[in-house]
Amino acid sequence: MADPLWSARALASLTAQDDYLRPLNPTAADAVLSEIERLATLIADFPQMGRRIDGTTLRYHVTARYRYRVIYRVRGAQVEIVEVLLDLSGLSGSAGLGVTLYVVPPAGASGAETSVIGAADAPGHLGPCTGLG
Amino acid sequence: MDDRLHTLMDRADSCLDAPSRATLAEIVDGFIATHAGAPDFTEAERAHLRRIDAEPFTPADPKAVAALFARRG
Repeated sequence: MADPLWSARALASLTAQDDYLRPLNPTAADAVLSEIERLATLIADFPQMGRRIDGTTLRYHVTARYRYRVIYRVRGAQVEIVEVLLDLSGLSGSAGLGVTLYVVPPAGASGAETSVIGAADAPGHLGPCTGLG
Repeated sequence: MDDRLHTLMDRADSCLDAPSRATLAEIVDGFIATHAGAPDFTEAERAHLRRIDAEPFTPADPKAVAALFARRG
């Protein structure tokens, strides 16, 4: 299958997360990108491996170590990666990012988005840290 | 364990080299995290995903995607 297509939103989310993590822990930032790249390639080869998200045309798959959720859609022979979210519930003790994180909306989010996804239990976009873990 | 799965895991353990076993372990780990239990999304996340699903797909610039992954040292 063709390489997966990244949406502007997914790229912005992952870029924002890398912008935050890289200065704090470049080794972890490298590992996160590598893990997501491997999973994206795997999804492109086996697009049905992800789990369906009820009420949408989307699927998701979780990365093994850092528990990012790669959200994607299969359109014909093409996989579209539409969002990348961090599973904040899996951070304590297992993610090993080496930093303490809290949730902020992605860069460029509209006010409406901010009000929905800026809550504490909202999608896992990384933001400024509260301190090194 | 399902017999076929058990047999395959035994074969993988005995036939694959260490890097391939590590890759397989990563795949299995991620697959379990994805499919075990109830889907792990909050209501806010579901609303976010429904909104994304309704949007037209806007592809990223492939050069920008490559540039992000090229940040790795």
